Amino acid sequence: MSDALFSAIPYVAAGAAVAGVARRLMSRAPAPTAGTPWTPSGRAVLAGGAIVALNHALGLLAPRVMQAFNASPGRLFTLEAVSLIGGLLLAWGLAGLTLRRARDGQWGSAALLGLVLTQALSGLYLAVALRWGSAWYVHVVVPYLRSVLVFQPDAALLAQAPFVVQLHTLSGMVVLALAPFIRARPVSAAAPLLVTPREETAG
Amino acid sequence: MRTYAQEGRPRGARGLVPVIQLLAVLAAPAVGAQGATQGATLFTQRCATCHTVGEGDRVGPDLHGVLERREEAWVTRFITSPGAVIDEGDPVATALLEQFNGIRMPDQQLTPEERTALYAFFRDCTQKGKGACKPSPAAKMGTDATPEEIARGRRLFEGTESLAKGGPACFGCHDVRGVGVAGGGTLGPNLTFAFARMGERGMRPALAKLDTSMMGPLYVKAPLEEEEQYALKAFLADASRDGSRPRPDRDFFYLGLVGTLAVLGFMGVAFGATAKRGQP
Repeated sequence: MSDALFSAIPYVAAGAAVAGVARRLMSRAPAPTAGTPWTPSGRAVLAGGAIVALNHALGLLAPRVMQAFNASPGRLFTLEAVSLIGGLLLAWGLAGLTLRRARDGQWGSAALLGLVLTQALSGLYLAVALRWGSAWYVHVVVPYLRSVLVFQPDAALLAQAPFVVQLHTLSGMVVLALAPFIRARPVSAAAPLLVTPREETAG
Repeated sequence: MRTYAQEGRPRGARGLVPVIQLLAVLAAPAVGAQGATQGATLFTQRCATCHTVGEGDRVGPDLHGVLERREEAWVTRFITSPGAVIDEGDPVATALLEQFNGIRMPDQQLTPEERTALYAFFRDCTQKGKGACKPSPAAKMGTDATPEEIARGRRLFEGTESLAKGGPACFGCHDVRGVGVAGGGTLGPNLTFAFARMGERGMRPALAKLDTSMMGPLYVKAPLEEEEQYALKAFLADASRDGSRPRPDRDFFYLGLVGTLAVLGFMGVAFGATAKRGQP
């Protein structure tokens, strides 16, 4: 991939995310109530998403801590196994939600969820086919992400990584940019995303 | 002759003679230093198992100042065929044989260039003084490693011992048969037979430079120290000798799948029970 993509996509994505958040705030959609029951898919997305997000965030925010933790093959294997389970939960949950949205004819929402699902599947492919991602992520991807955060994007190392690693990194930014649009609910009558219509009416 | 030669040359060429001589004098130390470096490598690879230079006797004598103690021609004769010199009844060779428990040095087939480099190394060491001429640890043959050196190489590979300059451990990206809980990483190539493929000549510069497209930027600020290069080379040399059947890979993906089903089952039981308790 060209350097221009590595330099442009993060900031375009950040701009889109800001616009999405603004749109969501202006739409004044009602937040799901605290007592709303969750679907199994919703629970899987939350549990898996939390594990995966924690793994990625730890590497980004404290790469030396993660490097020290991974200094033992046993610990590295444990972290990878937990993250893989998180990724599989996330993918399973996203697949359920995407299918439900598609069945309900909410194609826009289904397409956005499908994009997130594709991102989760590419992450699973990386975890299995290019294993010990937590070990090389801190050396190959984190330097690029940190350079983006200080507005001096440098993709020298990431550009040498396999194409799927580059794609997963950049599409991750696109997914983060679209996240506010997924949660936005301009039509108040629509059911909350993580709740089945049956559970909502039962409540 | 000299007069004739000088007169016979054109004026321009005559003017160049002192310049060429000066250049030769200036270049001599550099050439000598290069020879000494090559000699140091040669010594480490061919002689260091039995000899030292300035660190005392081992299986054979300490070779510090050997060219000052003996004639160069004698040393050359002895290196080429120690057995022949001993069998001739040479008194020095006989005394050495007695001193070192009757152990005969094997013949060393060195080219004249290699001998010159080795002698340059010996003379360089003599000039520097005793103990100042430790050969590079990375130059030692990977196949001559002790079990401790191999074990250290394994620790460095797996990352249980950190690299001195903070570079990432090999294990995250490379696999070698028998490492870790379920093998090493697969972002880079499998290195089980890397030493067998590249040999001593290929492996040593590869570990010194680490200049592949991916590793170059990673290790440019954190190169391996010479002892680390040697330990890793020793570990890879040992791994490449392993002719046993590869351990069947634990299937990481199936492990994750089983774990996921277990978590989903747990969530189903836990939240199912909660939902039932919440029903009127």
